[in-house]
Amino acid sequence: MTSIFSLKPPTSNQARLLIIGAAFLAVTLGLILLQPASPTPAGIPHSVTAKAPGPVAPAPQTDPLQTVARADTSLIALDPPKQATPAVDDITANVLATLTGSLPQPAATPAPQTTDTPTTAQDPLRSLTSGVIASLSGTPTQQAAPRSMEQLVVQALKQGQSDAYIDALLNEAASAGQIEVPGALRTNAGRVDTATLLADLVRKSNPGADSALPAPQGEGVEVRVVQRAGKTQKYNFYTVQSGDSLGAIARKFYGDAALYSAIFRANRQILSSPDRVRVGQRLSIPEVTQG
Amino acid sequence: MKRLFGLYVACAVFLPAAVFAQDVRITPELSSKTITLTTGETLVIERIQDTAHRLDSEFTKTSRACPPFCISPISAAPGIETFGEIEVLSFMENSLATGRGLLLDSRMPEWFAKGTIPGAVNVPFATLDETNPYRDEILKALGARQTGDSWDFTTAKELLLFCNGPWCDQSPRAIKSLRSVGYPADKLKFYRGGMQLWMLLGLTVRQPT
Repeated sequence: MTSIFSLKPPTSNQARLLIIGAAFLAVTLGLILLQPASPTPAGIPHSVTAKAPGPVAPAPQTDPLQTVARADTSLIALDPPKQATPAVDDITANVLATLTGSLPQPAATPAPQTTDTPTTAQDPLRSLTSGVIASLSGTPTQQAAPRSMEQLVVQALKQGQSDAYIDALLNEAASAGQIEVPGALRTNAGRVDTATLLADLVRKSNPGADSALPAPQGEGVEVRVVQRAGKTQKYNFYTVQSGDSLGAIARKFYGDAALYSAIFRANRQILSSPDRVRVGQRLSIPEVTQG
Repeated sequence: MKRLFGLYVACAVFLPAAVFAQDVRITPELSSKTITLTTGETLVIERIQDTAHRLDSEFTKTSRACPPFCISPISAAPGIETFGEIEVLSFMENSLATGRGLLLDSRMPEWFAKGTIPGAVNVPFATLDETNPYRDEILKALGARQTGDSWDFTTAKELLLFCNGPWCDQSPRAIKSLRSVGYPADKLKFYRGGMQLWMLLGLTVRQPT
């Protein structure tokens, strides 16, 4: 190795340049092909092969970016990969992790890392304060503005905001297209189902508190018991009420908003996407074995 | 070139007012305000000159949900002076330009980034809340001095706070937080109109860099 370097320095230099060039090209190509952060442009049928290596999800969800606050239905036919949508569960987990400070990597807060201690990255107030100090002392800094639903919720909870405030905040951000909202957390009126999101948070932060789930009841719940050849089969149905989201219905029946996909799958014929539940729709609620 | 000259002539003949006078002034005496900060930075405040201009943004909304977006009373807290736009301009000239005062945007950074009053510094209301464990650092940056457990505000800056407007409670909250640590009432001013009225009047908005 050393002999090659000492004997032919120009060639090894060239070789190094070549390797660096090739690596650069590969990364650039990879980024162009994968486009990790860019939403699929509406109207362009994104080729599945370009998304490459992993298997493409069955795509039960429609990218919320394309349906957020827009009433047209032409976009929902597209089936972009599932990864574009943050799952209800992920959001809850992220919020809790950030609040308890147990998040291993600062996924929820892209804080300016320049002058601060590592703990800064996990604490929105710390990074906010740093931003304030920097701008008061005249040094320009790039502020880490919350960009995801988790960050907004975390920030609002840390500020001790009311549920009503968080609801207004999320809806404002969603209607401005600043955050991605999972389809299951969209009510039939197009709003963000903050109540379900927050209830889910409470449930997740108190594991075991609701192990014995009471039978769902209330407006729209319908249970049919059919006896056939000695066997008793129970069927659950639910008629969508005003203000419901698929996540809320999943919470009602299973106690977990994240299980909405079971309901979605069972009602694929009448639901084009998880955020398309309409008042009066009669959904069949499948049995879900938990655990 | 010829055509341009023709246009000038036509303007000079038919629309003398448009050529010789600014149509949209701040006051009859004031067409624009130029403020030079201690840093040497120059701020120019004027109004949009297009008389057909309309707002086409968040600030055209009429019916945000209350709570939380409720209508603020004129006074943010007892003893706090409330400013209108002309007083804001005077403050910029007399306090901001001399370094005695600061113009604080109390909104969260994502709002600040969309555009603010020239010369404003972003101090989100949440950072002044007593739940922020790092609040002392901000108070020090505002010129307050800590002596033991108490604060000395004699060298603290005069602050003019604003947020999104009469439907926004963030600057009143910030003012109340500052009052609760003892920031003197006569050093706190409230611009209730906020971005809503500032923009509605076509006054200069700056995108922070």
